[in-house]
Amino acid sequence: MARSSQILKRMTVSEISLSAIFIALAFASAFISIKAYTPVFAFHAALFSLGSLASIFAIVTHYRLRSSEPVAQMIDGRPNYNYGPIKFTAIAALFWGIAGFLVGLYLALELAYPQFNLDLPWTNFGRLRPLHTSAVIFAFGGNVLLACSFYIMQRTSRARIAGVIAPWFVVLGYNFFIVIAGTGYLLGVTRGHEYAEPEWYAILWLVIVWVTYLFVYLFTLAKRTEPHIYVANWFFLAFIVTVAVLVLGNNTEIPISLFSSQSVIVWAGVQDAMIQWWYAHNAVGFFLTAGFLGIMYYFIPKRTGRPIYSYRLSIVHFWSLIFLYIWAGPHHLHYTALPDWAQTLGMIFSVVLWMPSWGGMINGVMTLSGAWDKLRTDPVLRMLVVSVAFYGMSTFEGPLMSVKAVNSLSHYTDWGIGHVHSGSLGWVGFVSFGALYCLIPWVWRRQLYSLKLVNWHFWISTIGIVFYISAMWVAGIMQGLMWRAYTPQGFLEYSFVETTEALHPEYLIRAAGGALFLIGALIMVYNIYRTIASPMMDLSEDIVLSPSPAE
Amino acid sequence: MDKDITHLVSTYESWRAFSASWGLIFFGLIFSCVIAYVFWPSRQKGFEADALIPLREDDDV
Repeated sequence: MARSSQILKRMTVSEISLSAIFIALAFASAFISIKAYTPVFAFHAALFSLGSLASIFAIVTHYRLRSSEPVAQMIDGRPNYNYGPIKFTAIAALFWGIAGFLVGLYLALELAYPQFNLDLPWTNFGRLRPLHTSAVIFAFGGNVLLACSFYIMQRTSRARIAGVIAPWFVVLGYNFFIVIAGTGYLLGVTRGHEYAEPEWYAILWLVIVWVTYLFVYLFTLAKRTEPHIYVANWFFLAFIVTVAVLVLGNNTEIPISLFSSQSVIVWAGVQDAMIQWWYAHNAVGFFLTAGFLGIMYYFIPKRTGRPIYSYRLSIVHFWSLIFLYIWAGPHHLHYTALPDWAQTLGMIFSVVLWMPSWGGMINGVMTLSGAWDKLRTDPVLRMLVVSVAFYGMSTFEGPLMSVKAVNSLSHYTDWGIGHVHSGSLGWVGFVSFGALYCLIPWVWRRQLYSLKLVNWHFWISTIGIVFYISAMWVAGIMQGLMWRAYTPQGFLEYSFVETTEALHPEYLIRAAGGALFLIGALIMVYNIYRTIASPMMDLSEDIVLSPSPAE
Repeated sequence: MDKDITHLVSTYESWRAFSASWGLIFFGLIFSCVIAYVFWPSRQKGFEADALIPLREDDDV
């Protein structure tokens, strides 16, 4: 110890070079901010400048507080896991989740009572809708994925995460991207591509963050002491790599000026449409499916205390998902200018995709075989398993809707909205809640405050989802049938406004369902707050992974 | 039809035909290799051990 304390504390190469980069970025974006064509772009450039200054401050403060020695990789023969970035993203996920659910509920009310758009540009449906979708998918879902992937990759590699600044750069940089994207939507900055609304400068930033994320992941795996790379990591890697390819492919555009937020896409027309839906469908496939399957393959075995039902099936699940998903995008463009063969290809691959999806569902659910009683006693496990059931349900519904004949009825109707929400609320939402209920007590070393409240969360949210999706089924099919109804004279039987009038009751039920889902999430936030505020557990005491029965 | 456009259409058609036949066979073959790898009988023991990775953490919370 005496020797090591004599080591002179010096800034590392990465601390120096990153500070230099951020100084340059602070000046460059301040300059852009002054020269910007629009106030919104000036505001965003100023945010980049302030963010860079804050980063320099953080790097220097960290340097002053840290010891002169590098962080220990092992303590007492055990990996010295880094939970800091995981804690940050877990809390960020809860924050963005509540924000996103709240905006969703507001939008549901806006559809039922259009007066809620307040006749203001910032609160109209067109601007709030991407705020809702991005907040729940990319902000809530993205932070859950960051938290769980950083946890799972360290634990299954039995190695500390690679890098000191890099993991923090990933989590803070990603959330900075969310802030830029979200404020942009409200202020009217958009590319007008669904689920790909952020403009060029936000995307450039995201690409840098995302590539760093990939490197952190790969370098941690390279350090692993466990010879085999556990299957959950395969799903996370597929998610990271594919999302990078998708974002680059769908954002091939040229900014009209360095001082403008606007850009022009390289290809237009049906090519743009095809690439957009190749992107968007695989965002569902690799962001909302592959990534969250990685969570499933770790947390369900962990919470049940049993290995996954079939490891072989998990590998088949992985590769067949990878091989099939990427071709399913054209089913979003049935009966459009897209060539017929491409539409049929999209439909066939969507139908075939049903098989790996159900293989994965069976694998997750059957992990409980011999431990079914835990469904009754552990509401967290129940949440995880029900999420897999919803995964099965929506991956059955999806192929069905991709069949051209069905799509001619379902497309452009609320059935699509219902399908998306059975997947996002039921599958992504519940698997995320289940994972956070496991992860947060584990990384904070606390006992979960109340399983009874988890039970309440589970039931209130489940009823909310059922309200939501059944209302949207009825609404969607009714809407589709009304649009195609003809009078004996060959005229359309209903005007558009008559269909929207007819949908009003379903829209109210949908809003009620959304409100229940939000209430469930608020119960979770309270439960998590009480968990973290409780005293830390004694490290020496044995902690039961599957807790005693809830009431 | 303009001569240039005919040329483009035939390029598109030949690429489309190539991907729909040889491309499909190529991917089918890779996928068969994956299946063979997964179900190779001697790998069973290894996979069973790999499935235990999340449960073998000694410092369990």
